[in-house]
Amino acid sequence: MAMETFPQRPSSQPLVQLHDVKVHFTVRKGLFGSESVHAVDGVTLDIGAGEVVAVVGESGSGKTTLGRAALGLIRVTEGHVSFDNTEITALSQKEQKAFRRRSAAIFQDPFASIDPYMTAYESVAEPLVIHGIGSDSERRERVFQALHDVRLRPAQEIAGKYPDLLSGGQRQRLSIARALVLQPQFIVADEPVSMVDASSRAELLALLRELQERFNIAFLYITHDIATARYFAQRIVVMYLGCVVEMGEAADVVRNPMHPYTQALIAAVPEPDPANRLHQRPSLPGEPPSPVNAPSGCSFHPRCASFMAGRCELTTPRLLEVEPNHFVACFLHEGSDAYQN
Amino acid sequence: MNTANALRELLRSGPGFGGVSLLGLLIVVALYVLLVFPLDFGESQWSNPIVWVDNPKAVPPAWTNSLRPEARPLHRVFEGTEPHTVQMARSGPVHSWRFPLNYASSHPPTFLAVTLADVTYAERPPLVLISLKRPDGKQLRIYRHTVRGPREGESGPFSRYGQTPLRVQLSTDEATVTAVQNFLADEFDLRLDGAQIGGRVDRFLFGVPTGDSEEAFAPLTGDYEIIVQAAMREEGDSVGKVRFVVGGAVFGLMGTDSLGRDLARGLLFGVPVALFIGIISALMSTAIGTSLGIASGYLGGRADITIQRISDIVANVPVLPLLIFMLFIVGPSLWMIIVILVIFGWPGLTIQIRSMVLHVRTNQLVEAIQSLGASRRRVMFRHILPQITPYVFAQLIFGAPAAILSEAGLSFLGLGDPSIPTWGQILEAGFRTGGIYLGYWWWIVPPGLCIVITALTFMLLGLGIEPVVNPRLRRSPP
Amino acid sequence: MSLFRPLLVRSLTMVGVFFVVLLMLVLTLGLTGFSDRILAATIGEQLRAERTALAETIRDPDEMEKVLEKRREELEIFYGLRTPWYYRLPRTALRVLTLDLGEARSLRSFDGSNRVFDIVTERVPNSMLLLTTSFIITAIIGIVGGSYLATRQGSWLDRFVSGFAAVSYAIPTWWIGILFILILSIQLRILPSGGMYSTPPPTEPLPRFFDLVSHALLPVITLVLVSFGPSIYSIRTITLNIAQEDHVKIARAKGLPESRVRLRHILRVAAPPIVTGLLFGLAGSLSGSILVETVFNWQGMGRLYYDALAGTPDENVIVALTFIFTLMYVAIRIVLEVLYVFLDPRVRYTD
Ligand SMILES: Nc1ncnc2c1ncn2[C@@H]1O[C@H](COP(=O)(O)OP(=O)(O)OP(=O)(O)O)[C@@H](O)[C@H]1O
Ligand code: SF4
Ligand SMILES: [Mg+2]
Repeated sequence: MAMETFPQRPSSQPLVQLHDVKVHFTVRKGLFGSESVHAVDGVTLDIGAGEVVAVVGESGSGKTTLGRAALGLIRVTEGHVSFDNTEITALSQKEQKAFRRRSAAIFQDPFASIDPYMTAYESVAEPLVIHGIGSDSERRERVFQALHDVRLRPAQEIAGKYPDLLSGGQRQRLSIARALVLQPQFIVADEPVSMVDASSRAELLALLRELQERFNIAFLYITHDIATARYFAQRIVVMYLGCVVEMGEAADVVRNPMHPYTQALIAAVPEPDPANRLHQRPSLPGEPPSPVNAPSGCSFHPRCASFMAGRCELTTPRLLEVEPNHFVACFLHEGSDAYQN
Repeated sequence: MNTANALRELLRSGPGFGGVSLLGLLIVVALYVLLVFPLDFGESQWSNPIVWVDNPKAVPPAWTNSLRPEARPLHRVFEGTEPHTVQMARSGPVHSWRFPLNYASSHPPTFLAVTLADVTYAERPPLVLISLKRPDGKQLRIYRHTVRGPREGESGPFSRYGQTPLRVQLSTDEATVTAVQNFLADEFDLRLDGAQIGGRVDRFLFGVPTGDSEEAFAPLTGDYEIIVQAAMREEGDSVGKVRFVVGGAVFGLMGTDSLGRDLARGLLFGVPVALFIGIISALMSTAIGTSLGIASGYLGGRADITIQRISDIVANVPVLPLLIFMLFIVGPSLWMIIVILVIFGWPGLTIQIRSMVLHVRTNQLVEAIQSLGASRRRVMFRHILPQITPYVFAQLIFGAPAAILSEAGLSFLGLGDPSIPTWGQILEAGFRTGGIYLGYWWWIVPPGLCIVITALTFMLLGLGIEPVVNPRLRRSPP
Repeated sequence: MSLFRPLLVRSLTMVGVFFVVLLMLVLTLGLTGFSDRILAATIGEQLRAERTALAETIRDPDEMEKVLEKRREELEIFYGLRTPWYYRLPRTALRVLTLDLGEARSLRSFDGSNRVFDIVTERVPNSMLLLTTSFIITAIIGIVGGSYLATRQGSWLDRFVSGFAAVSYAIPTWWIGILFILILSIQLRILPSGGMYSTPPPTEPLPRFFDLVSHALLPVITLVLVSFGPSIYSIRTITLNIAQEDHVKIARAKGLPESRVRLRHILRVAAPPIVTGLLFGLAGSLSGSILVETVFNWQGMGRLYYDALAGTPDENVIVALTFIFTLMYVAIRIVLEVLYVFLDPRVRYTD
C-alpha cells in the first residue's frame, strides 16, 4: 500500500468549510463562580469532497469538539461551519435533517455509541427509518449490503444479535455500517480504532480506507496518532489547545514537521509501522495542556524546546503558509528571518 | 428480550414463582369479588347494620369448633317463602313451615330471632304462631303475632312488612318469656319469675333441668323442629317470607365482628380494593416520577435544577403527619388517599431515574443517534426510555406494597374511606371497639395477614423480576 | 469551603422542607374552606354563649336578633372571616410559627391545660424516648449484624436475613404491635398491653423506672423488629461493596490483620453511606412510631393524633401536631446532617 498512490487533493470547491470556529464551554466552579474552557479557539479548515483530513493532537486539544462542531452536534460560540455551501449552524429542522442524511459519525467507543437494546439489524436500519427511506425490503437489502460492506459475517446471523454478544471490533464495524447505510458524503471518525483491541486495529483501518476510496467519502479523521494519520489521510492538521499549529499534506507534515510540537509528536512515535504502534500515545515533556487558562503568547511555549524568551510568551504566532500548502504557527517560521534559517 | 422468555426466567426463581402464583390467586379472588359483590358493597351492606342483625356478634369462625373439646353452637338460619303445607281450617287456610333442627352443641343457642316479611291480606289480618318441638317430645308455642290490621281510611288488599320486615328477638320478647314461664311450670314444675327468664329463654328451651338448682339447665341435644304457622282468613292471603334464626357462638369461615358483620365478606372485598390501591398509586407515582426524572435528566439546565430541588424537598418531608393532616381536612375518600400517596410518592424515583438518564445520556449514544438525524423525541422514547424501562418496571412493583401499607395505616388511624371497606378499616374497628383487649383474634389476625400477604406478593414479584430485567445482570438476550 | 457547601445545601433543603409543609398546611386549610368553617363555628359558639347571657336583659326577640346580628358582624371582622383566607392565613401561619397554637376543643394536657402548646409539647419527650431508644437499638443491631454478615456472604444466614429484610417491608409495624398485645398481654399476660405506667403509677423512682421499662418493652421491640432486618441488610451491602474496592485489597495484600482491615479500611469508609441510610430510615421510623404509639397507648405525639382524630376532631391540635412534628423532624435532621458532614472523611479531606 504505497502512500504515493493517493489522489491529489481536489482543487474544486471544498465540501466542508470551517471558518474561524470557536467553541467555548462554561464550567460551573464552586457555588457561584464559573470559568470558560476554550476547547476550540479559532480553527479555519476546508475539506474537499472525497478528501481525508486527519486531526492530531494530545488529549484535551479539542479534536473531538472540532469534530462535533463540523457535524453541527454542538453550537459554535463563534465562526461558521458550512456544508456544500450551506451554513449548517443556521439550518431549519428540515434542512438539518437533510444534512444529517448526507453526513455521519463514527465514535470512539463502540460500546457506548450503539443502543444495547437494539439488534444489529435495527441499529443499522435506524438511519433509514429516521429518514423514511425505502420500503421494508429495500431497507433490508441496504442493511445487509452495509453489513456485507463492513465484513460482518455471517451477516444473517449477526443481524439478529444484540450488541453485548459482539466483540469490540464487530461493534465498531457495526457503527461503520450504520454510518455507511445512508451513503453519506462526509464522515467524522473520532478515534475509530483506539478502543478496539490491538489485533483488529490495522484491519479496521484498512477497511475504512477501502470504503473511503470505494465510495469517495470525505473524512474528518480524528486521532492521537500521527502515524495512522499519515496512513489514512491526505492532509494532517495538528491541534494544540484548541488551535491549529500546523497543517499540510500528510507526507509533508510527517517528513518535514515544522512546528516544535509536531516534531515532538513525531519523535515520540517509536516505530514507523503504524499497524503495530497505534496504541502508543505521544509523550511530551512538561505538564499536559489545560484549555482553561492557556499560557500567554504561543500557548506551547512552556513546553517548547525552541522557546524564545521575550517573544514567544508575549505575542501569539499566526498560522502562515510557510511552504506551498504547508501552514505553521510558530515564530521560528514567521517572517523572512525564520524562512532563511 | 421477549416476554415469554422473561416470564420463564421469572418463574424459575423462587421469589418470582411465589410472587406470580400469589398474584394469580389474588387476581382470581378479586375477579370473583367484582362479579359477585355489589360495587356499593360498603354502603349497601358493610356499613348497613340491618344486613347483619341476624348474625351473632363477635364470634369466632365455625372451624374453631374442631380445635375445642366442646363444640360451640353453630349459627343456623332457616328461611322459607312458599309454605311447606297448606291446610284448610274453619277460619281459613293455614300455611305452615317446618324447619328440622339437629342440635348437637353442649351450649344453648346465643339467641333466637324471627322475621316476617311481605305479608298481604284481603280483609282481616293473619295470625302467626311459632312452636318448638323438642327431642323429648315436648312442644310449646313460643311466639304468637297478629299482623297489624287495617288502618283507618285504608282499603284492601293490605300489604304489611314490605319495606321494613318485622323482626322479633325472641330471647327478650315478653310473650315468649311468658310462654317459657308457663312451659317450665307445666312440664318441670319450676316456678321462675320473668326476670329470671328474660334474655335467657334459649337455655330453657334447649335444655332440661339438672336438678342442682332452679336455674341449672343442661343442654338437650337431638332433633328439634321449628313449626311456623300462619292462619289466613281468606284464600289468597300470604306471608311472603319467614325466617327463623338460631344464634350460634361461632360463625362462618372467619367469624363476625362486634356488629355481627361477616368478616369473611369484608376480607374478600378487601382484596380488589388493596390491589387497586397498590397498583393505581404505584402506576401514578411511577408515571410522574419517571417523566419528571427523564425530563430532569434529559433537559438539564434550569428545569433540571428546579425538579431536583423540589424532589429533594418532597422526598424529605415526613409524610405520615402530612398525610394525616390533609386527609383529615379534605375528608376521607379513597381517591384522596391515592392522590396524596402519589403526591408524596414520586420523588425517590425521580432522583433515581434522573441519575440513570444522565448516565445513559453521558455516553455517546445520544450524540450518535442525533448524528443520524433523530429528533429529541425519538432519542428519548426509542433509546433512553427502553434502557430505563426495566428498572422503572421493577420500581413500579416495589411501589405497590408501600401504597397498600400506607392506606392500611391511615385507615387504622380512622381516616379510611367509610364507603369502601378495607383491611385497615376492619383492624381499626377491632382496635377502637376494644376487640384486641377481649382477645378477638379472628378479628385482628386475618386482616393483618391479608395486608402482609398482598404486600409480600408484590415484594416477591419485584425481587423475582429485578434480576430478569436489570440490564447489568442481563447478559444474553435471545 | 468544602465543609460549608454540603452543609448549606442540606440545611437549605431541610428549611425548604419546613416551609413546604407550612405552605401545604396553609393551602389545604384555605383552599378547602376549612379555616372558614372553623372560624364560623367558633363565632357561632361564642354567639350562643352571648345569647344566653343577653337573654337576661333583652326580652324582645326581634331586638335580640338585631343585637346578635351586630355582634356577629363584629366578631367576623375581629376573626378576619370577612377577608379572604389568603390574607388571613399568612398571619395565622406567622402566629403558628411563634408557637402560638391556640386552644384545644376537648383535649387537655396531663395537668388540665387546654393550651395546644402545652398539650403537644408535654408529649414530645415521650415520643423522643420511644423513637431514640428503638432507633439506637436498630442502628447497633444493623451495624454489628451487617458488618458480620458481610463476612459471611452467601451463607444460609445471609440469605435468610435478606429474605427477612424483604418480608419486613411488607409488614405493617402497628399490626405486629397488635399481635404482641394479643399474644403477650392478653393471652399470656406477661407484659402490660399499653400506657406508659401502671395505674396508679409507682412513686418511688426505681420501681417507677422499671414500670416504665416494662411498658416500653413491647413498643420498642415492635419498632425494632420490623426495622432491623432492612437495616442489617443495607449495611451488609454497603460494607460488601466497599470491601471489593482496591484500597481494601491492597491493605489485605500488605498483610494487615483482618480485624484491622475491617475496622480501618472498610468500616471507616462505609460509615458515611451507612449514616445516610440510617438517617433516611429515621423518617420511616417516625411514621412507624405514630402508629405504634397509637397501638400501645403510649402518651406521645403519635397517640395524640389518634386521640385528636377520634370523636369530635380537635382541629387545632391536629394542625399544631403536624407543624411541631415537622419542626422536630427538620431540627433533628439538621443536627444529624451537621454531625454527618463533620464525620464524613471524604468531605473533610478533599480539597
Ligand atoms: N461539554 C463540555 N463541557 C465542558 N468542557 C468540555 C466539554 N467537552 C469538552 N470539554 C473540554 O474541552 C477540552 C477539549 O475536549 P475534547 O474532548 O475536544 O478534546 P480531545 O482532543 O478530543 O481529547 P481526547 O483525545 O481526550 O478525546 C477539554 O479540556 C475538555 O475538558
Ligand atoms: S512560537 Fe516559540 S514557543 Fe511557540 S512553538 Fe514556536 S518557538 Fe516554540
Ligand atoms: Mg476526543
